[in-house]
Amino acid sequence: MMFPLTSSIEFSLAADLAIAVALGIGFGFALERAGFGSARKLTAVFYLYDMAVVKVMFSAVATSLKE
Amino acid sequence: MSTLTRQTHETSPQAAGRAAARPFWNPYLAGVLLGVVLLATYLVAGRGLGATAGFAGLATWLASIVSPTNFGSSIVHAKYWNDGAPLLNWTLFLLLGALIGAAISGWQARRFHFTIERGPHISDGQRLALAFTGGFIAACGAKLAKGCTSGQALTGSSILNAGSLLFLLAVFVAGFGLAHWVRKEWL
Repeated sequence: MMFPLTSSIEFSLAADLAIAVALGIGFGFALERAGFGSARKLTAVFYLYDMAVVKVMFSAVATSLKE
Repeated sequence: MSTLTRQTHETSPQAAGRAAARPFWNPYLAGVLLGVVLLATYLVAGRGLGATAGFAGLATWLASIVSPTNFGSSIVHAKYWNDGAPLLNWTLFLLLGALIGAAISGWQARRFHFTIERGPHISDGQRLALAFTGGFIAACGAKLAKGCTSGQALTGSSILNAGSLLFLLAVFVAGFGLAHWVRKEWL
């Protein structure tokens, strides 16, 4: 099997958009679990009382790092 | 964390009658999940996670309604026109999914409610006006930078794109530089 899947499989438009929705659900779920649904939490980093934004960003980049 | 949760809810009149919201996940754990979702997006779709292109598709659709004869003269709108179907935009559907996923997460953790988060020394109206102004500026910035905190800072940084790392640095420098001037919004 070749990755990305779109390089070897010809998805229909509907399937392609359904994949987008499915990946988006994961994206939104992860962001909300991290607290990024809260504008206060997002801005807290700039007032130095909650550094969650930096921690989440750093560990997400480290997890998905490609050379 | 507990202090933050309390502050977050103090502006909501419904707060008293609700079961306590669950705390957010450990940020490193949430970050790993976010990274796994990003990896899955690479593997399945050959794309990264973004948001800007979705809003661009939406903007092109609106422009085509307001000015059906002239909107195509903008190279940005021409790019996102998608042969007459600007709303069948991959990133817009990603955003639709993100809305659903965040709603599921928030509902399951009892965080799903309508509230306007703000500091104690600012009115709801002022806070919303600042949010609108900030959103306008952020959209212009995302278009200039060819990406936002999702497409540039997250996806771009994870492939060690030099421009994206510079973007990430610029976001934090500008954020720390400007935070003082809008501190009443939050503190």
